Amino acid sequence: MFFRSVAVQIRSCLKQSGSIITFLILLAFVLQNFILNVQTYQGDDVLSMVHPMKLLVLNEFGGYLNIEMFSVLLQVYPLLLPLPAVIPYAKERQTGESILLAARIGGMRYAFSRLLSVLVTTFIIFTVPFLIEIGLNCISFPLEAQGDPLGIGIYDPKYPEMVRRYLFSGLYIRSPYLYAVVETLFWGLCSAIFAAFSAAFVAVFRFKFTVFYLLPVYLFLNATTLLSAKVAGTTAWYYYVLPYNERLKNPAYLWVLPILLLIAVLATARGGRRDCIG
Amino acid sequence: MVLQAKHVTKSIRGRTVLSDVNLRLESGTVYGFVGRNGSGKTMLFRALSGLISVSSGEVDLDGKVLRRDFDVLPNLGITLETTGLFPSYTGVENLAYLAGIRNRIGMSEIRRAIQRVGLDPEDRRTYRKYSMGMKQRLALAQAVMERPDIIMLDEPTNGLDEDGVDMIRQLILEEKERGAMVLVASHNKEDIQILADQVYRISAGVVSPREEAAL
Amino acid sequence: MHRLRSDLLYTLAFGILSGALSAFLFVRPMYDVTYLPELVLQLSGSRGVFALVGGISEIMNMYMRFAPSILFEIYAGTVMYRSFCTASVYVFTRNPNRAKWYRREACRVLLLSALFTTVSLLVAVLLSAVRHEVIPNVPGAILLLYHFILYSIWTFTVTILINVLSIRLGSYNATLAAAVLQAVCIALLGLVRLSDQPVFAVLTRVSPISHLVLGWFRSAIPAVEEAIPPVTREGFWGFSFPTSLLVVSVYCLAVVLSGRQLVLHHDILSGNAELDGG
Repeated sequence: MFFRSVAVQIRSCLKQSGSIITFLILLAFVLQNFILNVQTYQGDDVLSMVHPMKLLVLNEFGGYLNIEMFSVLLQVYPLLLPLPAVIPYAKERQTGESILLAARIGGMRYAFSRLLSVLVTTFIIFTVPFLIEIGLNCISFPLEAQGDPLGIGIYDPKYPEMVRRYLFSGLYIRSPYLYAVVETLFWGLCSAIFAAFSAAFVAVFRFKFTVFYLLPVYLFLNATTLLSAKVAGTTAWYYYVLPYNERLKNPAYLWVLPILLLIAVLATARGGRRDCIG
Repeated sequence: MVLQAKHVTKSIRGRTVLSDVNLRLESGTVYGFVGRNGSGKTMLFRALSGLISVSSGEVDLDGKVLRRDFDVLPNLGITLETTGLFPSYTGVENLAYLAGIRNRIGMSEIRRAIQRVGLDPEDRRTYRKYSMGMKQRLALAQAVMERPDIIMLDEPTNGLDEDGVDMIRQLILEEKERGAMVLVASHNKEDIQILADQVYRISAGVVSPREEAAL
Repeated sequence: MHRLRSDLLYTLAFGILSGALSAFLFVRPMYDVTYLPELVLQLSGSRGVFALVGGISEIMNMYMRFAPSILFEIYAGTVMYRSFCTASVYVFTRNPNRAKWYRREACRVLLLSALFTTVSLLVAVLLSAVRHEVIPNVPGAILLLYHFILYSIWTFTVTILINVLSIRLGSYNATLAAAVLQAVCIALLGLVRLSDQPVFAVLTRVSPISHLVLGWFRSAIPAVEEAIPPVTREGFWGFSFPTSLLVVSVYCLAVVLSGRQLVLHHDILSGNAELDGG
């Protein structure tokens, strides 16, 4: 019954307007980047072309106007994260429907099924549009192209140093296409964990206005960006979550995701134990 | 099936909301709980169903202790005053969402439950557009649609018109005939007199039996 | 009265947070000495003595400057809206003249926005004066006044927008809509690097956020003109305080008037707009 409950909740979340809006916004980013890239590189020789996997919207330099669109994506990302699954969870608690669900499977099972559904729904919504872009780029651009958007040639001594700083650099060296897919899945996983962190607050706290539930993840992500202005650029979340980022990384950051997930699990357990008073 | 509450007490922030409650409830019977507003009727249902923990005492179903052997009563249908449904779903969509959890019934049973409470399963209006009476009817439909063994109805006739009240009374009697254990909380004495085989009075969290109601 | 007191306290807290963050993160004088004009310019996008020129890190820095005010806007975005969330029927049967109610609430929001900007600026300047040597002068005071007026109007505009959109969309969706709008306007700052192309030049001028970058101003007052370093960009002709005040005020008026119409014609069908909206 637990997994059935998770499946029902995932299906319900995916049909909600929040999921559809988020998916469409992310798809819009993808499509505008793709269309602009097609227009920019139309007719170019394959020798001067940028590698198709470096034209992705998640790459800071992935396109002609990508700096602007990339910055919009980074700004709205913390606001989009809770929309597909966390806000419906919050509304379920506000309306009291959570009590009817808890009456069917128990408070603890309901809380954990909700956490799992938040993880899966967010992962799907934040991964699929970008996987679509990988497919579109593979179809539309020459797979033999090797260029880099920063203009660094593959025989340039700076190139291996840059590549070595990528997360999963070994995978990139083996196959840039597999690297792109894995990085996209990693981006989806990180998004899911950030959303789960937000969901932890829904389990434990009750706010009158649903907008306040965006504050935990918004404050956390912006704090990492603000800190990077002071701490030599190694803390901003997008240096770790996005592909093709050659900035120096702090290995301690790998603990952040498991810690956030642990907080989500502990808060959910606490919330699940509480009385369903409404 | 026997549901028992043994010396159940519940305190919230120092205030006792249920005090030494002892009950023995059996299947195929309608139990009425009367009391003023704030007497503890809703809290009692929450405690009996497992939605809240008790400060002392225990609730057991056929010897299995609630919140120890299981989290909530199995096969329970419940309505409480403070619960609502998803505003952006239609009536059918709301019930389908809840039915999907246990997956015991299909769309035909859902539609039948909606018809039973006097609503139209073809109605495409979302829940946010329902009147208070329609919301109450839909809440009752979700409580009975899966043919539960135990049904707890908190103020079921609130907001209903005369036809609605008659319909709900008929529904409760049908569920009793089916063999369900039905608990009805109401401050309306007429409801209790007509429906209940046995009546309890709640006052300041203390539950005491009243004389058995005439059938 | 109690509500106004708590609104004022929260506004004070957000203002102090905003000012402190601005002082620590964005005020970076060379040799620990700064003139007041340079300090004010750094609070609105400049890096040291260099005006914003549109790279990704500058756009993200500009976004970071707005992050604390977004927190204030999330809170103050419920000041008007909350009357539609709890017992709206009881509130509006006691306020038969809704236009008068709207005027009163809009003035409350304006007061809070002005207070937020004042406290933020004061704290930023005072903290900077404690950490570095700040040399005040008349052009600096004039730029500070420009900053206060423009940022107060913009904060007020966004806050009213969130309040009135919330009535239709719910608090979360309204905040998301306003944040996306603001994010796009911030991203348009990047187009200054392409301002030799007419389309991008127009877009840069239309964006209200461009009119908050004091480092792009030209001034008829010689002392102020001298205090603002020139932006050396092909085709870039700069802004001025009167024009920027007009542009930002037009956006403000549009939002306030549209909001008034929405409030006047809104049917109070439900007791809690937060549960039924969005």
